[in-house]
Amino acid sequence: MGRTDLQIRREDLDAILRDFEGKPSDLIPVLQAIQDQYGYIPREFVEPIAEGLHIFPSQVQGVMTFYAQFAMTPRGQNIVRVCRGTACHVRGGRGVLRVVRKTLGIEDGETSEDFKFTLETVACLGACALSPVMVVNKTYYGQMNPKRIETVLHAL
Amino acid sequence: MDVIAITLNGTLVSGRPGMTILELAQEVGVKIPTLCHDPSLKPVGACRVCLVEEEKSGRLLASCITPIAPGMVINTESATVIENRKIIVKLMLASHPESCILCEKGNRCQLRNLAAELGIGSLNYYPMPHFTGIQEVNPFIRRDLSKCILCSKCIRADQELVVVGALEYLHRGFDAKPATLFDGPLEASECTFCGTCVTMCPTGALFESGKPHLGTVATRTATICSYCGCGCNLFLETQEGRVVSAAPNPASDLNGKTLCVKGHYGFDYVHHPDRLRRPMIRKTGVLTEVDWDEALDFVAASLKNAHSQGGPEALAFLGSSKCTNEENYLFQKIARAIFGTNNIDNGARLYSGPSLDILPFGAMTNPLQDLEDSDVILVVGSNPPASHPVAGYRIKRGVHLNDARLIVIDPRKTELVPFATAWVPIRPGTDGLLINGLLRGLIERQAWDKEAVPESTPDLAALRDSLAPFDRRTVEEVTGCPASLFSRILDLLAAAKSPAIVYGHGITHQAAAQKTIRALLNLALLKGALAKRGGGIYPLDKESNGQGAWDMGAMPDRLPGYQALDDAEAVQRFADRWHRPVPRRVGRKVMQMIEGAEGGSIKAMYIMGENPVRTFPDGPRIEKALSALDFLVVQDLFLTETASLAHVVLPACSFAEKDGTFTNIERRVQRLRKAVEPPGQSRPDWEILCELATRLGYPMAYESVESILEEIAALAPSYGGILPAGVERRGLFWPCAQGAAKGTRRLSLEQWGPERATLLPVSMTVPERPGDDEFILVRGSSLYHLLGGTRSTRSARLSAMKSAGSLQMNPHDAEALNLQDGDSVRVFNTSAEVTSLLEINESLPKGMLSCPYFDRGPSGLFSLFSDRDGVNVCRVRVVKEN
Repeated sequence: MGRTDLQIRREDLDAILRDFEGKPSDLIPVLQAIQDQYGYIPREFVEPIAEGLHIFPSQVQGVMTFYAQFAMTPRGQNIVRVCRGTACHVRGGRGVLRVVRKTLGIEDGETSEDFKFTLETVACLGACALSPVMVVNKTYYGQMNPKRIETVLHAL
Repeated sequence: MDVIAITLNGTLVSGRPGMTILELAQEVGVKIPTLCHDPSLKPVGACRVCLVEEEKSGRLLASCITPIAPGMVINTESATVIENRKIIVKLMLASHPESCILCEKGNRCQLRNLAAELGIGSLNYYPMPHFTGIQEVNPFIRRDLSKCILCSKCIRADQELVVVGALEYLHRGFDAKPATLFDGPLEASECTFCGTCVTMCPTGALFESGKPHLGTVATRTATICSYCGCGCNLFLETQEGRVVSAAPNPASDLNGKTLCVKGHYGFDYVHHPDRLRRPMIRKTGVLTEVDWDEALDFVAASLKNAHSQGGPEALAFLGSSKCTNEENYLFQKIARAIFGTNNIDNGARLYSGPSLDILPFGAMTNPLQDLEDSDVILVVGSNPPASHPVAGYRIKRGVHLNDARLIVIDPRKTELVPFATAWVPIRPGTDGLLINGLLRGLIERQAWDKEAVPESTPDLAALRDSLAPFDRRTVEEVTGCPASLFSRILDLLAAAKSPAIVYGHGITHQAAAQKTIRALLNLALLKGALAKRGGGIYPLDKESNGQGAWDMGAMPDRLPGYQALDDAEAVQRFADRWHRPVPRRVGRKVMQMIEGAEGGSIKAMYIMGENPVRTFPDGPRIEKALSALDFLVVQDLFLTETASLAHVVLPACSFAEKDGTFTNIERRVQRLRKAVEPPGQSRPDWEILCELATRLGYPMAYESVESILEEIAALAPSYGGILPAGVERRGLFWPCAQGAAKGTRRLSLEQWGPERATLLPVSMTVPERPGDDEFILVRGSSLYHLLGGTRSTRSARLSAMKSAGSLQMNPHDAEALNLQDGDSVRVFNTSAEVTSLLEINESLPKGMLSCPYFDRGPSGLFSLFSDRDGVNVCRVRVVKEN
């Protein structure tokens, strides 16, 4: 996941495409595989993906930008998502976001200079019972407060 | 068939399964407003203004995507429907800028019309226009996406109709917008500026650049495009005597709602300030404006003089693939009836002559629409997206929407290659050898159509024997097609049920053009691909009326309707009607006319609507030959390179200023209609010809072009049923016999004549390979200019996009010669030496160079006659200019 010295290698894409049949419907799994490897979809890959799946490059871009899960720029090793849904909001979600921003020194959607963190907000994480919620990579942290936030983030 | 009954606005109506509510409503005349719907596009249900109420459930349904179901009770006008429709339109207006007054769309804006219909005056919503406009620099299309209502018509038109893929949604929700890859300007994308998206856009989000008139126009005239042989149906929109815009005329199944950049935006040459306005006579070496009487009297006297001094064979007539059928008919009538010569040809000779030699009438066997029904499309030596874009759309649609397999045989990586299942980057000039190899393979595999060609056919045995030398290894060695690719193509062809064969100038310009076309014809015959839907042969080698010029007998060996000069009965019919004897001796083709001018045997020449000095290969030779004539008269729109050599120049009318008919590459005869008055004293070619004939003592008193078409129908059996009243309504395919209810969309084998509809062995010779430092240079089609570009380079918009010629070269070759993009290079062979600017082009193979037709510079490098490499193909060396 996300490194500053990441090499964009066409062979990686070719290896991923080999696992699929070259159908338009392979697009999302292909994008997910690339993102798993690189942490984002390199711009240089858009046209080769289109060629491999027999679709237009603009269609690849359309799908990439439609789904929030796909990133078009390099991301940090850790993806921090703060819930901004209604339930979290009434229980202090805005404050959670403020503390995270301050702790990491980055704004929503940004990646830290050392590529250690990327901060995102999400409309709802579907774990309202634990609100306010924050997710780091694939781990959910519920009932957040400033102290817990710092503990979680400093442990990374 | 099943019938589904529903109640629509209180009336019981019935429809077919799969129909949508909207389709049924339209069928029974109930109007439902739409914004994102278009019958030529797949429905998406994006805008929701077509919503209707299902009264039983109370649900609101988008009628454009909801299929009818038994027992539905639909109300299209209930209070709920109207209320919700108003909300939807108000929401759209709330995010729309307040610039209706300055909007190009004017009264044609569908959003504004809908708001008016719904009586929406004030919004009561907080306006949130969001400006996302991009400043385009291209001369054709502008985007102001703040007016976009996200109907996705532009995206669907781009992907489904013209299959370019330049546009797709970017982002989602409030940020969503139709965008190019990486959201750049259109000119940096795949966009070909066909303008289909502009035609489709319901609002002013997409609009035409540089339009001289905003808003609704006073009149629109249904006519035919003047550029390539597709012959697209379009409207010319006129205001105060000027053509201000063109739009596709969807009444015809030929081009529907599509056009190409030339047809849509390249008409402006019509109003170019350099249009000829008065006749001119060369007086003391200078072309001087005179009046019509003086000019025509002088032409009549000079032609008569040449005739009396040198006899009929001293005159030559060059007709035009850009003039109407009626004009070409009168032109050859003047040559034959008045001067008694068959020295008549037309400008299509160099581009489509070989097709005429091999195929019946040099014509397409099937309509272009059939390309969408083919299972395998073989494209050889043709780049339709540039040369005949609307044919290109059909091919891409066949692949993209109907899953046809596309095989491209072309040294260049053409714009079709991304759509191809197999692409052979073939060694130039060896296509015929590959086709023969494929024929051999098909016979070996027993994979031909045995119904069309029974095994016992003697021709088959002869063909089989003749193919012995074309074994796989030889073919691979000569053509450069690897064995694995060869097998792949063979598999595709073997499985093909209705293959379509498309070829273009890449074949007709080869030295072995006739042989290669004959081999392709063998392939079509062997696969039983003729006279069937989806099959057929499609030569893409002609201009707007290239087919019609041949049909009208603007050629030295056939009378109108391809009637032979040795057909006594036909000749008599013409003689009776013309009241003059018809010459029987075969005349000169245009190349021989040039030779005759050089040698002095041709004394006078009449050129109508052709510019051979610019368009033909070896322009300098043609210039010299024409300058040697005792008398040259040129009839054209501009003082062209050819006209400036003439003794008399007659100003003619453009396609927008005259009536008549054009016959497109499909054999479809279509009506050209006058949209504006001609500039100055210029006159339609047919009127000029009538006046001149009268002065030559052979009165031609045609009242209108219709009476000329009637004469053609009476004399040319294939045009027998093509009469003014029928053509007025819609295009008619010839052959159309007298009294026939309709024409022939697909030629049947009987209509071909026996010598063409049978298998015929063709020998092939291996072209000599170029030397180590030699390149093969070809003149190629370009999207923005048609052939020599006499008209397209005078379109301000097309020229703004592309005006300079260049020498295009593969990057590896450039590197080897230490050349860079933009370098000035010297290109030479034994004939000429020219300087050009180098342009790196990755679609070219190593060893091949390309220059556009419209660039006159390299013309002298080529030979007028098809030689070792062909016509418009030659060998050159390249060095960097110091």
